[in-house]
Amino acid sequence: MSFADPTIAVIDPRARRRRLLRRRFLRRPLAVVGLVVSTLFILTAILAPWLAPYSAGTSDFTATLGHSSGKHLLGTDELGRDVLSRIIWGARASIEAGVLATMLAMAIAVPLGVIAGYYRGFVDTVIARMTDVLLAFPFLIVAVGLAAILGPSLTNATIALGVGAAPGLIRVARGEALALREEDYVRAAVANGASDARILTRHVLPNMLSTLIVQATVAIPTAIIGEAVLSFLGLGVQPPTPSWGVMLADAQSYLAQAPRLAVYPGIAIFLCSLSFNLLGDGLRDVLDPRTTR
Amino acid sequence: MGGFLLRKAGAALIVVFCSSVVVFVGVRALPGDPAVALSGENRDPAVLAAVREKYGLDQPLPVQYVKWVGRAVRGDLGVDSRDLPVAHTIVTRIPITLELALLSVALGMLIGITSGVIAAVRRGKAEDHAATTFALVGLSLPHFWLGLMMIILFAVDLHWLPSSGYVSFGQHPIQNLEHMVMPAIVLGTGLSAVLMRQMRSSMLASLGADYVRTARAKGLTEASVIGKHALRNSLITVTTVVGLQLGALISGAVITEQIFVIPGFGRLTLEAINQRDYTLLQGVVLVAATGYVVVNLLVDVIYSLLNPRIRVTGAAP
Repeated sequence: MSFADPTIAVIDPRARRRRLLRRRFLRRPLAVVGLVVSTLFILTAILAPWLAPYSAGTSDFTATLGHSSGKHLLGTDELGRDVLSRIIWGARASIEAGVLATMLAMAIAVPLGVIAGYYRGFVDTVIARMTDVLLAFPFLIVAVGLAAILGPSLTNATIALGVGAAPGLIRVARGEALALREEDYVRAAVANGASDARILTRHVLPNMLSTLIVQATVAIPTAIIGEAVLSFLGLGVQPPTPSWGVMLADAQSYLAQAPRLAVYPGIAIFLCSLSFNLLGDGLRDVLDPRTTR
Repeated sequence: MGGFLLRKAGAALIVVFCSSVVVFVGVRALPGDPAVALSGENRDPAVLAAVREKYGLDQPLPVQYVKWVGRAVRGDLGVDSRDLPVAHTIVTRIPITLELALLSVALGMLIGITSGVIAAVRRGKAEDHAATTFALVGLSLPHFWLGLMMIILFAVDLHWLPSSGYVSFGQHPIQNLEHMVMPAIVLGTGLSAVLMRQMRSSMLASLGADYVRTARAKGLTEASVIGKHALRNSLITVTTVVGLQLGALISGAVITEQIFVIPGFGRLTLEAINQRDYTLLQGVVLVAATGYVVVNLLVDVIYSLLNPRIRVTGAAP
């Protein structure tokens, strides 16, 4: 089923759009920097065993709280563990929590939001009220509660972060579906006798994809910071597994003797979430020109 | 207007009711026997039975729920594991967090709105780039880390400010502010980044609107066009954002109070979790959720006062 105008069907419109988007994206230096740096962080997380000079748990008790040196570029912590290695290993927890929590939030939010927006009526009211109830619980309270029920671990922190991020995304998906169902091509599909499932998967979802991609890129840094907060509070990654939040929590006891221990993990969290934010802003400008930030 | 208010209040009431069920069920889903926790880890069956009877834990869950809610609406949230009334504990802790929240919101609005307006008016110029960069950094910074850095700089190195603790305003106003400066900055900068972005985009929309062109055509001064026409209309959207940020503010207060050792509502939440104090946790979460709903109801009311179109169509922002 195609309504494409035969005169422009000569050039594949999708390839042309892709080329146009790529050119628009490459014209934004900050977005490109964001893409490069966030990719580097993901690669660091995957390649940690090969990149890190030491394993995350190797202690050198002759060099505790050491300054940076040729042997330990960023120095050592209170147990003589190499700080650089722990930051490299710590990228795993952050990236894992950031990406998986966002995927979980999407998996919850998109179906609910689309159903609410597309069908409206009673279903919409129920889902909207449910979202309101979830929104009434500050994310950290949900996360703290879930960690208390399920026990503190990276997986449970990720679940809490995903559930916490879902209500906001439900609203976005619902709003998009509400707008899209009024589009002419959806009406045309209805007139053609297309099933709801077909309309949702072939017309509504593909057309909200760019909004969803932008939302996902923005949700990842929020989840990365969230993981750091939970691990800092002892509700996420459990020591001795390295995580930037755990490193900051440990460093809190040595703020006077070795403040650098609190500096490096924070910079890592900052750069990681900044790169995803830059990427998200760039994608928003490219994919969704309607919104002028 | 009356109908609109009733509808909004009704919806808020439903949300509070559902929240109370979620809190009640959630707290009961926590692992461990509350009777063991309440009896101070005494596992003698006779003691446990007495504790269960005292706290009504031997009754069916729906009965427990109805009794709990019935007392809660009368301001009685039960007693915690130290036999202190929960409602009283919460009431003593809330003002501390409220002061922190008010200072942070004031700071966040001051920075966020001012820089947002400047960025929009000077779009594409150096000021705009500076403000946009500031917002981006503010969104990417882990704020509790900013708190640690400030402690290192202002408390450990320079000895300008105390690193932790709390002194009430009534006791010593100046010391109170000294203790509150860093926490308020930590909590306020995150809000200011969100507000700046919102303010900038709604100012840009206002500045492009027809009524601004009309105002300019009438020969009004630029200050009056921006201040009276564009700014006032942009503030409407910002009100909603502040309301929606309350949840983030409560979450932020939990970690900020933890870092700066401030005995507020946020720390109380963590204490309740760590001590597995079910009555306390139940009360704390219920109060937090109700507070969020009430504030957003107020925001809806203010919003409808500022923007009459909403009252007519009844559409949520």
